[in-house]
Formats: sequence, structure tokens, C-alpha cells
Amino acid sequence: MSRFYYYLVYLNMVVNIVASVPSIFLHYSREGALLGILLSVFFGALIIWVYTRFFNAFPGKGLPELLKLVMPNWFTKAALLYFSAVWFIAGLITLVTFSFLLLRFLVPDMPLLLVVINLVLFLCFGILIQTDRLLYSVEIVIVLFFPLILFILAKAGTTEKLRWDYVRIAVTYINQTPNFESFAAASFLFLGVANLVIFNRFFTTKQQFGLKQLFTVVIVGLIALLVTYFIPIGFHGLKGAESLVYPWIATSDALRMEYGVIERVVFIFLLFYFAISFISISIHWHVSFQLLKSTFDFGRFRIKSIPVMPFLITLLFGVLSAYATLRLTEHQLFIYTSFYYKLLTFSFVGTFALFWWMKRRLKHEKNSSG
Amino acid sequence: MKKTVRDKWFIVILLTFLPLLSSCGFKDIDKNAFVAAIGIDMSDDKEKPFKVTLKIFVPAVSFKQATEPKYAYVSMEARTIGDALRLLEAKIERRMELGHSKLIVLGEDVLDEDLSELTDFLMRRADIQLISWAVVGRPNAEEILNAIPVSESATYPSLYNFFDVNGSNSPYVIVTHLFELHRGFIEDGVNPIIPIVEFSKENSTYTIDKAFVLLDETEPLELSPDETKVFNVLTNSATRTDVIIEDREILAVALIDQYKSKLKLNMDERGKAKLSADLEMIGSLVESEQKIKSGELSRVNKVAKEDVERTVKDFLQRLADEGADPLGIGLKYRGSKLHNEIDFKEWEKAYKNMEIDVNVKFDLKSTGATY
Repeated sequence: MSRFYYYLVYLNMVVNIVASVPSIFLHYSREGALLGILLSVFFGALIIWVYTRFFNAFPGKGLPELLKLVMPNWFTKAALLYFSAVWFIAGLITLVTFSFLLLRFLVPDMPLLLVVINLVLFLCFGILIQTDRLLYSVEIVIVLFFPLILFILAKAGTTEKLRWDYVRIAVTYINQTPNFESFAAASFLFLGVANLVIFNRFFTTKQQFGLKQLFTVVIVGLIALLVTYFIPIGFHGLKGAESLVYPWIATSDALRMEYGVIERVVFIFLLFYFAISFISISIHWHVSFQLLKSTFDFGRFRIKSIPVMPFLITLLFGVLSAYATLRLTEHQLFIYTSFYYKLLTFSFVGTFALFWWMKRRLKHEKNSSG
Repeated sequence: MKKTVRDKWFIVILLTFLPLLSSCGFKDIDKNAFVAAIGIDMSDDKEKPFKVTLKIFVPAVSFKQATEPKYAYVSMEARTIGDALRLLEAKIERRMELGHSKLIVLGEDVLDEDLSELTDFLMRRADIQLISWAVVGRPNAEEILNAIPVSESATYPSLYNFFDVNGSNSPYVIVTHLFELHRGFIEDGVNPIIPIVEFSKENSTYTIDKAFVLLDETEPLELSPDETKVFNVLTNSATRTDVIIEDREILAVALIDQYKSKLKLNMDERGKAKLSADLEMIGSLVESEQKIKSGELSRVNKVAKEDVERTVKDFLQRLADEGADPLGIGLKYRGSKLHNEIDFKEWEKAYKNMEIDVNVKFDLKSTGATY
């Protein structure tokens, strides 16, 4: 596959460390989180396989184009609207979490609203620029920050203050019924591939994707999951990690770089994750925006020949996220996010059926026309 | 033509963003009071049990002017630590910045209180570093904070140097970070350990060579300097250590620059625990009363091996007798079985009666620079 495909997939795996995923895992660490996480790998593999194969069969075509070919108009519109909302919320969760983080750790004296407005202002560019340009900026961020993040993770894994005994204790909870919340949250790590619904427009040639590629992606996902879950436990103990609101922030704060320019790793960590989360929100909202754009005719409403709709949509995104950030408490965020992940799991099973149906219809169409 | 109009608009929009660059209520650096260390003591007042002392850096205008370290001290008694900090903010004319504090000193009498509540406060605040070092001040925190040894430089508190890997190499210093203290309190199977800091006014020096093991129900257990050193070796956290080798004929000191220790726990079917400690030590002689030829080193090794085995075994035995577990052997027990097969009450009994087996491989590479 093209390297941009892997960026999309891996970005989702890495960015979740700061979002709600680890706190969902750790919240259920003594109620079957571990088995839920391990099971999600199979589901994740299935998602990656189905999505990649499906979109690979139609190079250069996004989901809206394909839906319009074979589905009735009302269904297309409803489905695209639903997907658009799903992607918007995915970005929103990251945005709200990160605004809270910034407020707590970097700019404690700044009003929350100002934090959000600043973020949204720059996210506008991510929403409005063309798909290929967004992918190029994704590449820059990934090339710059992935090695640094890997360094911090490696540092975390090799520090002697990390007690493997705690990790071993966490493993002894494997004989429990898998927990659905953590299964759903873990599956979210594998959903980066779903961005193909829009980004497939960029991949105009047919790509090579077989079992070998699938295997690499799934193994990386598994490692990401295990790191996400076990490293905070190793630093804070099973009970300690359970009570952390931001497990990974507390974990990076437990790291010390004796010879680093900045001794307290948490600030470097936040900075790196700021870049990664930012680009991840851009991707999610870009997809959301493009899906909306294909649902409604944006060209009709113009002022002095400039289409206004894109700006109105971004404004709407901004207002919604400001409202959500100001309104939500951390606990609500946790509850709603957990619910969202669960809903997503069902939605994705639904899309499997949809894809199967569409593939049949598309084949039929091809045969009858050719 | 059309393009230039667009460019103009673009510039106008950019300019409207300019006010945002004024940045976010950032306070000048001299408007911040940087706290160097936080001290917590108990007061005599029942209504206001906690006494919080802060050691604050006093900024100098230039580096050349600052020939001596300068600190300001403030302290306050209050019902809780958070309350005390709030009240202290009214005493300092600048914004209190706790994020640069690297040291938390607990007074000795604080140890009698419920410490998990205390660490919870320190963990909960986002600005207090989880990597700050936790120490016990003897006789109390305030005295340790107020002390300024002669050797202190204007730029870096010398107490930091003991715990910083850049400074002291002493095997007697135990480094406990705040997050380690907290996890030790809330988790079954390990007792937190915390170094004791003393200050002697006559010599103007700190002494840090003892430690407290904090127990759940009973008084904290104090470790002697030698025991503290053994603890550091068993946890592989000393950079180097030394061993005194002594029998009827030999009296020598060996410097151990490479060592590795491994603790293993075995449980048999009847629930009897067996702890084996494997130590490997490599080093050289630094002092000897007698002339020791390199050929004789194997004999010295044998004596040293027995010496170390005895010391380590005595230490582990004392811990077992007292029911103190700073090494986290209980964690190893909990990790060895599925969670629903764990009976922690049984384990506490097994720990006290466990069999201890110490195995040392002692290897002197050289007799030092002379025979």
C-alpha cells in the first residue's frame, strides 16, 4: 500500500494514548479489560481487511461516489449524514480531551473558551484544504514526531522505576469475562483505516494489500494496545492507574530525563501529542466536512461567487466544539466517549453488510453495462 | 487585479488574528515565586493539624551578584495542605509556582498520620511534579528546609544533588519519587520506603543514610545505614557500592562497580514461601591491611561471598520478622497466581515464615593499583 495509507492507520493507533481510550481500559482493569483488548485485535483485523479490500477494489473513489451509484438517494443522504456526525464526534472527543489537558497542564490561567477558539481557528485550515495537501501535512507531522514519541515510549519502557511486577499482576486478571467497553475502545485504535471513505479519492491506483500487510498492521496495533494499557500500570500500580484521569499524562510525568534539556518529560510529551492530536482532529473533521459536502450541494449558496457553505460549516464545527468543551465535565466525557465507542462497534458491523451489498450491486452494474 | 484584492483581504484577516498573539495571560518571570521545596509538618494545634513550609528561590538580578544562595521561607498552619497553600498565596506577593519544586520533605511526626491522604493531595495537583523526591526530615521538615550548608551554590540547592543522578553517588541514598510513594501506599504487596534527611548545624552538612519503611498498621520501621545500602543493592539502584571483607586474617574493602541482583519467589504446594536472592558482584580492592597478591584473590572472594551472604540474609530476615516488605515480594506473589486464587492474609503469614536463600557470586578483578 501507499505510505499515506499507513499514516492514516498508524496515526489513529498512536493518538489514542492521550484520549479516553487508556482511561477506559484502566477503569475496567479488574473487570475484564485485558481479554476485551486482546479480542479487539481480531475485530480490528477484520475491519482493516474489509475496508482496505473494499476500497482497493474501487481506486480513486470515495464512499459518497460509490453510494450514489447503487443506492437510493434518501439512503445515501442519511448514511452520509450519519457518517459525517460520527467523524465529527471522533475529532470532537480528541479536541475536548486535549483542551482539558492544555488547560490543566500548560495554560492554567487561560479561559477555556479561548483555548478552544485558538485550536479551532487553526483546525479550519485542516478542514478546508484539499485532501492531498492534508495528507502531505500529515506526512510532515508524522515524520517529525513519530520518532520522538517512540523515543519517549522506549524511555518509559526501559526505566527501572517501571515495575514489571505490577504488569504481571494486571495479567493475572486475564481469566475474566471480556469487558465490552474496553473491547469497543480498543477497536477504535484500528479504525484509522475507515478514513478511506474520503481519502480513497487520493489513492487512484490499485494497491497491493495481502495477508502480509494485514499482519504487520495488526501486530503494530497489538503492540500499541499493550503499551497503552500496561505502561501506566507499571508506573502507578493497578489500583493507582485505575484512579488516574489522564493515565498517560501521569505516566509521562513519572518519567525523568536526567540529561535532557527539559527534565520533566510531561511537557515534551504534551507538545508532541499536541501536534499528533491536532493532525488527527484535522483528518477526522476533513472527512466529516467532505462527507457533508457530498451530501448537500455546496455550490448553490454563494456571495459574490464565493461559496459560503464551507465557512458556515466550519463555523458550526467551531461553535459545537466550543459548546461541548464548556459544557462537558470530565466524567461526562468519559461516559459519552465510552458510549460512542460502543455505538461505533455496531456501526462498523453494519458497514460490513453495507459494503457486501454494495459490492454485489456494483459488480452487477458493471456486468450489465459492459 | 482580482488577485490583488484577494491578497489584501487575506492580509486584513491575518491582521485580525494579531491580538491573539499577545499570548495567554503570561506572567513575567519575576512575578513568579518559584518554590524550591515543600515541607509538611504536624502542628500542635488540633484545629489546624498541618503546617506547610515553603522554601522559595529569591531571584537575583544577575548571576554575578548572586554570590550566596538566597531563599525566602513562609509557613502556615491549616486544616488541610491545600488550605495552607491557599493561605500562603496571600503571604507571597508573587504568583506561587510549585511546578519547579523537586523536593517534598515530610516531618517525622507526619508519618504517624494517614499518608495516603497526603500523597493523594500531592498527586491530584497538576503542577506538582510526580518525579519530585519525597524525603523524611529529622527532626522536622522545617529545619531541613531552613538549613543551608556551606557548600551550597547559588544556582542549585545542594539537597537536590543527593537524589539527582548527576550529583551524589552514595549507595546510602534511597531515591523515592512521589509517584512511587503513592503507589506503595495504595497497593497491597509492597511497603513504601522513604529516605531520612538529617542536618547537623555544627558541620553544616546533610546526612542521608537511613530510611523508613512505612507499614500499614504499626510504627514505621527504621533501616540502619548498612541496611539501607543493602536495600539499594537488592533493588539495583545504587550506581556502585562497597563491601567490607573481614575474617581472622583479612581486613579489606572492595569497591563494587558492577553488580546485579535478582529476587525470586517460589511457593510450594503447602503455601510455604522461599525467597532466593541471587547477587553477582564484580569489583576491585580499594583498601587492605595485609598485602594481597592477585593469586590470593580467590580466597578473598570466598570470605567476601560469605560476608555478603550473611549481611543480605540478615537484612531479609529482619524484614520478614517485622512483616515489612519494601522490596515488593508480595507483588511477586500476587503476580504468580491468577487473581482469584490470591489469599493475601495467608501470604502475610507465609512472608513472615519464608525461607531465605542468598547466593552471591563475588568476583574481584584486581587488587587495585598496588598489591
